[in-house]
Amino acid sequence: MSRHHRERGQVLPVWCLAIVAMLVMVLMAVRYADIVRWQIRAQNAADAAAQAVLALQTQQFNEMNSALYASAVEEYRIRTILYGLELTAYGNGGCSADSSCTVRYATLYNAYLKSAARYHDEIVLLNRITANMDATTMHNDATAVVAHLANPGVCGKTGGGDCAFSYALLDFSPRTPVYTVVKDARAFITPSYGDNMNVASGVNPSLLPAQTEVSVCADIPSPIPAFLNFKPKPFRVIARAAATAVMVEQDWFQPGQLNNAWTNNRYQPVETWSGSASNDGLNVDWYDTDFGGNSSQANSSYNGYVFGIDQDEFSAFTGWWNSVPMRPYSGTQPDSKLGCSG
Amino acid sequence: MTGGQRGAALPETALVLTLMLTLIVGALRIALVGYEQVAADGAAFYHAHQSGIQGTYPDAAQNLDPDDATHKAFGQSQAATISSGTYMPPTASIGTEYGFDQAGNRHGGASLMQPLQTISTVSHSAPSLLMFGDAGSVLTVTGVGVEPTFRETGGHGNIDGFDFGTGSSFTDANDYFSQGENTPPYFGGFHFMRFCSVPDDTTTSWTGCPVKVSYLALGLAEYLDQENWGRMPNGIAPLKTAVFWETLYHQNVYAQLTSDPVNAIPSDISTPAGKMAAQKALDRTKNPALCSVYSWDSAQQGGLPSANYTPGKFPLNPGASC
Repeated sequence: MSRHHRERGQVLPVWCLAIVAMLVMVLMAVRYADIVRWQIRAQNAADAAAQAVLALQTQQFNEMNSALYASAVEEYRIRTILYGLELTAYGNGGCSADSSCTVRYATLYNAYLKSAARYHDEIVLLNRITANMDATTMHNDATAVVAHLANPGVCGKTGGGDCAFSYALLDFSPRTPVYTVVKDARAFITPSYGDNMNVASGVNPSLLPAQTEVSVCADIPSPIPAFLNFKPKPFRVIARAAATAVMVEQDWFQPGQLNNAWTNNRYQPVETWSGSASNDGLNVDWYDTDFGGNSSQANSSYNGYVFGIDQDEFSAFTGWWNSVPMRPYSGTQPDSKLGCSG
Repeated sequence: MTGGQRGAALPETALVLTLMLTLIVGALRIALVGYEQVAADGAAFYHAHQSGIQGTYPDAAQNLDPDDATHKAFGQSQAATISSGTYMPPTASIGTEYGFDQAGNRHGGASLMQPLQTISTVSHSAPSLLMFGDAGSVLTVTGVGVEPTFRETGGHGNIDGFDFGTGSSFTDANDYFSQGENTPPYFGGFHFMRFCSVPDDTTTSWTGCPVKVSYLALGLAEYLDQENWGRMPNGIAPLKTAVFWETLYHQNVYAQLTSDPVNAIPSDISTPAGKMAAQKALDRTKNPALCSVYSWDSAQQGGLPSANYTPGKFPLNPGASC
């Protein structure tokens, strides 16, 4: 063999090695990127699943508070109408001055019938929302939601989970401790604060904010295709996420005094049932429903508000529930508990 | 001929070899930078995620060290520079009327859990591929992750709080779980109705209230707080037991006024009989059912608590007899 023939024969394996090395590195980078991508996707799926499970409770709390608010508005309306009826029945409040008592009574009566019917419906609704709100039912519902997310019929669509993963519910339980909030009906508020935060005891378990932990798992085929006897193994991605229910917004709301920022109208404007406002000479209409509101002044010494009562007032302390993420808390679990198969 | 071929092969080989080596090294470098970029992106996502959880619920995230956790999950990040911070959310464009910035004239109070922006940045230099460096070039990869941290702004009814959306309210934000209300769901309120405390009289009537107008604190049935959130079962029934039994009780009384053979209020008072029936049905002293609701009311005045003040009672006099 001549010299240059030997040189030519040595270049080929060098090239082959270099190209193989390059391919291996590129494929490793691709595989690593794929693993990271899937892990992030799994974490997002788990985070979303935990939020979805908690929506069972937060939605129920929101419906309950909304029904309480609507019922309270209606009962306040009923009470003012009843007082108007009583006044007109006795000729009090200004109607005798213009002989309008009979007419005003009739219109108030019709308003009362409608209001009482609505109140009935709202109480029925309140019962429908809350009657089955026991802890066992909610846990069963949480299990069903997790199964639903992975259902092939809904996954990948609105309301479904990520079709690539199996889902598992690791926990759904009340969060403790929670603290009392003391707000009363005597024109003064004493929210729990600092040293005054007292642990709420004896709370109905279904009314305790829940916490939940969810996991997702999948065995992902390698992005590197198999060739000859080389069969890249699938890799397993597992993600766990936890969340808990919180009152994301809490307020003392005076709908008769505040404007809806979108419409610039009062949330609950004055309702003048008897057609026109009645003036008893003191600039008071005794037959309307005025949701009113009194100005308040913050008093940090007492950690509350102070206000004089010189107006009608309907106000509500309540809030809106949603969930926030928290650290997974159920400890080490075998893959079989995390939704993995095999 | 042979010498000529050899003479041509050498520069050709050198040229091709240089070109191929450049391509191979370049490809490897791209692969390496891509690998590092993916690692930085993953580490940034993970760090922001951990930081968001830690900032939201510190008690439940005890011993959680986002840096350490990220180093364990992404070994490359040990040589990286990790920076993380929490920043104000975008300012809301819809105003409110609460007047939080006017402590002397607030219409109430509000607390808000705001999703603050936690941004983690992981940055490090991609290692050189060649022993002698990459021709002097240094490539730095940076990954950025953004996750929410939920903190409570204006906690405790915003009594000492700042106007929402301001830097002060942001820095004043608290941990909801240990410094916020962190309660079961609650519902309460103040319900005052103007009232003229003159006894009903069938012989005389008043136009302007002859005495000072007072305001009744109404004992409405809708509430949920420490007085009733420990009851079982949920729902409105049975009476005296369920969480919301008062609503059923009041609803029954109001329904009686529309249909009860004895206590229903008439639709018309144009006749003396109708007026008399209305007076009987609507007067708390003559209608026991109505009285059983009205007796929950209480004449209250606002103000600081007196020595014998017992907060938290709502409705005011539930179950009080007439």
